Parts: sequence; C-alpha cells; structure tokens
Amino acid sequence: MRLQTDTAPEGRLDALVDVQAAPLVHLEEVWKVYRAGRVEFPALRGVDLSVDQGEMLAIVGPSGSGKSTILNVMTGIDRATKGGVTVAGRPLGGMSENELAEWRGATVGIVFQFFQLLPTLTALENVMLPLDFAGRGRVAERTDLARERLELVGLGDKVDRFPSELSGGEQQRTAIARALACDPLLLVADEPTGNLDTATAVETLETIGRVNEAGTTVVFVTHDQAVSARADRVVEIRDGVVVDSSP
Amino acid sequence: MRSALTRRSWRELTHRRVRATLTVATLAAAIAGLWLFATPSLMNSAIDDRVATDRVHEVLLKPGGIRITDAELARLRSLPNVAGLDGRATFWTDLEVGDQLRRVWVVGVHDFADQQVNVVSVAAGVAPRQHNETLEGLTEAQNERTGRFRGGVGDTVEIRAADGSWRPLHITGRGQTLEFGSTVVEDNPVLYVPSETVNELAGYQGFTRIEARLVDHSPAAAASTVDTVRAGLGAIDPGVVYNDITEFRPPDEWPGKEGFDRFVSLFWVIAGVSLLSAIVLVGTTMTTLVRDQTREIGIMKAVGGRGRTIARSFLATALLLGGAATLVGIAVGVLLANLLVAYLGGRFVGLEPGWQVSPLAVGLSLAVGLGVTALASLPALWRAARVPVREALETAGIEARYGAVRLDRALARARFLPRPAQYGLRNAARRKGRSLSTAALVAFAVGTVVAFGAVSLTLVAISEQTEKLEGGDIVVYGVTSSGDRLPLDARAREAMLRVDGVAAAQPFAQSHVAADEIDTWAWGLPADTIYDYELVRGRWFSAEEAASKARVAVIGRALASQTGLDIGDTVDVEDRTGLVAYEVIGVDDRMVNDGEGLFVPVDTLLEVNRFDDPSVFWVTGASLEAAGIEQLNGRLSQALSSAGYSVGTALRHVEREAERSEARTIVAIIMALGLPLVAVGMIGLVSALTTNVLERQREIAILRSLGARSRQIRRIYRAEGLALALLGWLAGIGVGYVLGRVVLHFIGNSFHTSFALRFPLWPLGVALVMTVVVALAVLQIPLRRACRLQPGEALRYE
Repeated sequence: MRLQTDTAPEGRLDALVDVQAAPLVHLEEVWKVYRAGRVEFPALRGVDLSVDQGEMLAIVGPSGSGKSTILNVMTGIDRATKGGVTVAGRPLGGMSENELAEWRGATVGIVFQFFQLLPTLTALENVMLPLDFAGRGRVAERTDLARERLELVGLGDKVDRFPSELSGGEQQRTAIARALACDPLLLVADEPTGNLDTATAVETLETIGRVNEAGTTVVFVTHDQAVSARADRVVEIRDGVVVDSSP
Repeated sequence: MRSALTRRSWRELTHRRVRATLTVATLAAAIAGLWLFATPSLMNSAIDDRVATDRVHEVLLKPGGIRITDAELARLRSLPNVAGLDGRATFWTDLEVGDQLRRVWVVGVHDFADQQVNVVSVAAGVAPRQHNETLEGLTEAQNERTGRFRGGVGDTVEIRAADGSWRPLHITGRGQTLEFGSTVVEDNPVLYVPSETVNELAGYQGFTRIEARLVDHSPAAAASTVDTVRAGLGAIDPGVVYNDITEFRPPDEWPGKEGFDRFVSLFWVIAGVSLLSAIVLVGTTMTTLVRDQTREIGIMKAVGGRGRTIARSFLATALLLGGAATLVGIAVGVLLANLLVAYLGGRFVGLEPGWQVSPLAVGLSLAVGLGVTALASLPALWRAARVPVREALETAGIEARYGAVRLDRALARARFLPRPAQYGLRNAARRKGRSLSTAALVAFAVGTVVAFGAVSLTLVAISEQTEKLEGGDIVVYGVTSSGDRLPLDARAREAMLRVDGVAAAQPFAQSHVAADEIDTWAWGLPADTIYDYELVRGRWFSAEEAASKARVAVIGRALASQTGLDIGDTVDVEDRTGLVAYEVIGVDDRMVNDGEGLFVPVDTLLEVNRFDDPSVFWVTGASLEAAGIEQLNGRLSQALSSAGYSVGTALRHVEREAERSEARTIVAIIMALGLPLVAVGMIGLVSALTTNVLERQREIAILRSLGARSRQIRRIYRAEGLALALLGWLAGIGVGYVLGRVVLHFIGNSFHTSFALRFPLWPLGVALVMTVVVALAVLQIPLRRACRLQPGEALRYE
C-alpha cells in the first residue's frame, strides 16, 4: 500500500532506517494541562508510551480519560505541557506551528472522528489536499495519486461527489484515503467507527487492517472492545494515566 | 436572581467579544450614516437662528447715492409695514496685502450702536469709532476663515481711495453678518467701517443701499411697501436714480441658500441609500448571529424550551447589541452631522453653527438600531426554531449542504483558476445569502464612489465648459478713478483692434434683471458673438435685429423650463429703468447664469439702460498661450491708456483657474458626502470577512492537520475575500451608474434643467483599489491569530 517512488521525500528513507530499531512513537513523562479561564484540567499526567514500527495500537478508556489527547499530542495537534514526544526520530517540542504542519503532512495521516472533510471540495479534491500542501509532484500526478487512494478504499466511482452527497461510511473512507495520500509512516484515527453502522464499521476496520499489513503504523482510539480486539496491543488510559498495556 | 435564560442573553455579549464588538461596530456605522438625514434640518435650524439674530433684509433698494438725515431715516423707519430699515454706503476698491493687491468690499454701517437690518455684530475687539480722524474698521470673520484676508485685530492695512491715494485703515475688531459674510465665501474680503468712512474713501455722499425688513411679507404687501419707500426716497431726493432692480427676499430665504439647496438633494439620495445599506447590514448581521446559534437553539429545544421562550432570549441579545450600537451610532452620528453642518455652513454662508441634536435622526436611529435589529432577527429565529432538534444539534455552524445547487457544481468545474482561487470562490459560495449581502454592501460603497466621482466630474466639466464660454481671453472694462463705469466708444474699440495680437474685441453689456419675476442676468452680445451658444430651439438674433436694437431675446433652458416660455412668447423683463418686453426667438442650452439668463443684442441692452456706449469688451487673442495672453494684456492696457482711456482688465485664464480650484472644492465636498456610505460598506466587508475566519477556525485547524502552512491558508482566505470584494465591485459599477443618473437628475432639477452623466474610468479604479486593499488588510489580523493557534485549540473552538 505504501507508495515507494523515486521521488520519496529526502530524509524520510533515512529516518525509516534510523527508526527501525527505535520505537516509531515515544512519549516520555508527558503531561497535558488544559487551561480555561481560572480552571486547569490535566488531561494527561505523566504518560509514558511507545509504539513500534508497523504496530497497530488501540487506546481505550472511558470518556474524558485522555485518549484523544494522546493522539493530539503524538501528531502535534496539541503541544505537551511537559515531557517529550518523539515521532520517527524527531522531537516535536522544538518545532514551530509551520514546521509541525509540514512534518504532519509528510509523516502522519489523521482520521478524525467526524471525518472533517472540507464541504466545498469533492472527494478527489479532499484527498488531494495534503499532496497540494506538500507540493508533491505536478498537479496531474497528485490527481492520479488521489484517484488511486480513493479506488483503494472502494470509492473510485465517486471521486467527483461532494461530502454532502456521500454517506457516512463513504465520508469516512474518503477521510481514510486523505490520511493515506502522502504515504505516511503513522496513521492515527480517533474513533474511526464511532459514527458508522455495523457493516460500514467492519469495512472500515478491514481497510485500516490492510493499511497496517502493508507496513503503516496505526494508532487508534476506541471505546468499543470489538474494535480494540483487532489491534496488536491495547493500552488503557484512565484519568490521564496509562493503567494497562496488553497485547 | 436572574433566570438562566436572562443570563444567557447577557453572556452572549461577553462570551464572543470579537463578534459582539464587530456586530456593534457594524450596526453603529449603519446608524451613524442615517444622520445624514438630519443635516438639512440642522443647517436650516442654525441658519434660522442667525437670520433672526442678524435681521437679514427682505427688501433691498440700490439708489445711486442718496443723502438721508437721521430725522429722515427715522421717518422712513416709521413707514407702514416697515419692521426695520437701514441705509448703507459701500465701496469696491483695492487692499494692499504685502506686495499684492486684493479687491475688497468696504461696507459702511450707519451706526454700530443702532442697527436694524443686516446687523454687523462685533465678534472680537471693538467697533470702529465714528467721526474719527484715524480710519478704523472691522475685518469680516469670514475673511480669515476663508483665507481671503488674514489681517487681524490691531493690524493696519492700506486702502486705495477713489482719488487714487492710499489710506491706512486700522483694524479694531472682527465683525460678522450673514449677508456680507456670504459674499466673502463667494468672492472677496469684506471690511466694515462707519458709513462716513466709505463716503470719504469713495468720494461720494449718502447711501447706496436701503435695506428693510417687513412686518407683512406677502408679495403684495412687500411690493406696496417698496413703492412707499421709493416714494419716501423720492421726497428726500426727487432726482434719485436706482442702479439695480429691487431685491425681494422671502423670509425663508437666506444668503447662500440656493447653493446649499442644490446639495440638499444629494443628502436625501445619500441618506436614502444609507438607510437601505443600514437595513441590509443589520439584517445580514442578525441573520448570521442567529444562524450561528442553531445548535444552541436545538439544545434548548431538546431540554424543553419552547419556540417563543427561546426567541425572547435571542431577541434580548439582539436588542442588547442593537441598544449598544444605537448609543454608539447616535454619538458618531451627532458628531458627523454637526461637523458636516459646520463645514457646509462655513462653505456656503460663512456660518459657524453651534452643536445641535436632531430629534428626527434620534428617532430614526432608535427605530433602526432597536426596531430593525429585532425585526431582522425574527426570520432567522423562526427558521432556526423550525429546524428539527437532531438536525440542529448536528449543525457545526458551517454550511454542510454544499454541492446541491448548480452554482456549486459550476464553481467546481472552474479548474482553470489557481487552486487557492478555486477554494476561495467556493468558500464564498457556501453562505450564499451572507456573501450576496456582503457583496451588496460593497456594491453600495463602490457605487457611491463611482457615482459621486462621475457626478462631480460631470459638474466640473459643465462648469469648465461654461467658464470657457464667457469673456474671451481678456475682459477690458472702462472704470473711472472713483470706480464708476466709463464708456468705451468706437475709438476705444479701434485702439484695441490695432493692438498686435488682438483677434477680436466685442462689446458686452450686463444687467441685473427680473425676467418673469425670476431674478437673473441679461447679457448684451453682438449678433456675431464669440459666445459659443448651443441652441436647442429657435435662432440667435440677426445682424439686422442687432442694428435695429430689436427687443428680441434668446433665453436659457432653465429659464424656459421655469417660466414655460417658448419661441414666439413675450418675456417681461424688469430692469433698473423699468419694464421691457422681449420676444423669445431662441432657447440656449448652455449653463451660463445657471441656464436662467437671457441674451439680447448689446445695443438693445445699452439703449434700455440709457447708455450710449458699452463699458466692457471681450477681447480674444491670436495666441492661446497664457504667457502670450499676459503680454497682450500689457499691450492692450498701454494702448488704451495712451488713447486716454482708464481701463481695468481681467485675464480669463486666471479667473478660470480660480473657478477650477472652486470646482475641485465642490468635488471634494461631494466625495466627502459619500464617505459614510463607503464606511458602512467597508465595515460590512470587514465584518463578513472577519466572521468568516472566526467561524472557520476549526477548518483552519484541519488544514493545519493536513500539512498546510500559514501562507497556504492565507492564500485560500485571501482568495475568498478578494472574490467577495470583486463581486461587490462589479455590481457596484452598475449601482454607481444608476445612482449617478439619479443624483444628477436631482441636481439637474434644482437647476431646472437636465445634465448628461459622464462616466469616467478612474473612479472605478479608485473603488477597486479601495475594496481590494480593505479586503486584504482586514484578513491579516484574524488569519494571523488563527494560524498561530495550535490546531488542538482551534478544533475545540466554539
């Protein structure tokens, strides 16, 4: 599934070699404290977590336990208040917002809980978006790549549909295709089946499974045991602390 | 204890401070613009006060110097229907200012302590002493204000007397009166001196102005009173002659009113468009505000809220916002209206009005600020309340149905555009209603700039064209040392024609008349005149008619329009010597004398006025260069002086430059009047673009999550802003053309004629630059802020 081309971004193959020994994702004593007015809320309290290359990890826990925050922190969407976050050998702490955005586009694919497709773009254009931002190849090449990704998730015949014209499952698959557009090392998904019916949820999980089998590291958050059972390892988090980690 | 709903209404103002501030600013701008409605009434109110204080004359007679004793003056003042009466002597002469000479009008006051008409009040310093050895006087307050003459209290100036000698005049104070202050605004500086000082300087005795106020202002009573006063003057001096027709001024007329009234029509148009803009702006703002809270409405319904209760809560917020905006809008509007009145009062009448508040404008502000705000919220509230709870709860505040209409699909096919432009256009189409409203506001603003630019250019072009029509290159006028008219006979004309460089020298005569009771000017011109008339009907007078001094006239189009006169009709013209009937033979389209004048053969007018020879000639030179004309002027003066004629000359290109400067001021005034509309439109654009960024912070976070850098995000939003700005600009061209035609129609009506609109391109360019600059500038701050947010924070943004 991963697109290996001669035009793969410089440094990424080197990074791959470097990280084959070390975990792809490493969180060390990570704290995340949210401040809202006079109130402080520690969403993560000294989390230590590692994810190996090629692993599929499920993060489970009750609502408000910090599951989504872990994903945010490891993708740079949120910055850790304390502690170190290293992904593919790069510590995220010292990067500016622009550097983080660029790094994310090249390294990470994110599937949001509510899909978060841009409503004014067609499915094809939504998938092309990360490629546009990364400036990968010419427009025609990006178009072909995006079309391939959509075919991969079974939406080859709906490339010109707007999100409003797609079902929930189709929107989720488009979101997955978008997350895979730049051939990321790491795919994170926040409740990927949370808003889907059973059949579509199964399809989505199978798609994610295929992605993982092809070598992409996958980390997803779920509160569904049936979903978490598909992972290589399950990490349970409660009140911002990792309480259990089991294969 | 306040209910949760009440607290919600208040907290909405503080919860989203930026949006609340923008909303209040937007509404306040719209309300402030409404105060243009107040300007005419504020102006009239200020003027009425001054007219009463100054006791402006209602009747003016101009005898040729009549000596009246105090006892005789008292008898004239006691005539029936006379509320007040004064005699005055005046003198036009030269004032030495540094190394330059300025024409100045020296106005006499019979008794500073006892003035009954056109009262000259002492604004600073002291009144000049009467029967004093040293000449003393007051400088008109408008002299310094207009820059015509900057001499102040304590200064001594040199005044040329009729005998040619220079006399020092000590300025003891600053005086003001509406009648003569308005003259300064239009023309030359004015000095107030005791009447005997005028007599001493001018070399004649007595009064040249008899000014009166009436008890009964009806035309019949006024005419009767004038006859009585004339009879009284005749009894004092049986040989009294009059240099001009009697001037009647109705009580509601004031000096400079005619010019101001022409602007009033502009005010009504601007105020009307401003009201429309205000309603659109308020409607859009409230609709956006309510629509953005559809999810909250859904939540309230889900927990048991009923439509009416929910609506009341939102209406309370709307009224709080509207109330705040009304207060701010009224404050700004009062400032705006009073500054405008102060400027226009100074410009047209030399008035310095005090600050006033218009009850009409306050009422309108409250109606729009509270009433329209509340009413504008209702449709959106009604729609939001009808949305099913589930659907409302799922609403993320962003249009989720994009793609359903043809426009969306058409925009999706516009792939020839750069990608950011494509995204920007589609974003603009997401909220079609809001985008159209924003574009409409921009269109109003652009249309105003374009329309007012076109109208002012049209008027300037007409004014310049009109100026070119009269006077040739040099106006030569015969004048005695005492400033009286000196005839220039055939010998003088031959002397002019012999001067090298003179192409033509044509006689000219002018007389202040009342044509069918309309106050205007009659011009006497030759049959082969250099005046470039443009006849819409009829013909110019022939050489035979000119030679036979026929009573024929070509009338201006505005005069024809007002009186209904046409070819073959007879027009009764009252001159200083009496009534003369002319046959109308043509109608001229030019705007000389505001299109109200009439043109008769020069010899006819001279005969009617009992003159043998003209005292003015229009001379045209062979050279068109200013330097050539100035040299010709020198040779002409020399030649006539050598031939024994005392003349003055006026270089028309110098006068035209002064007129052009005047015209530029008028352009500036007209453009300034449009500023409130432009401000409303631009604030609407600012508000819409800023709101677009604020409510899509989550989307910006998603773009960030997908790898977008700041400049890539800025490019997308700039494209959206430019799309709205350009859409508004394009629509504004059409709006501007229509608005320009409407405004020019009103102005034409005030001149009793019609004008063809010139529609140049430069105002379009100015409007485009203005709109684009505002659109790009306004996005800087919210985009920078949004890009600086961590995506996680933005994703949590509500």
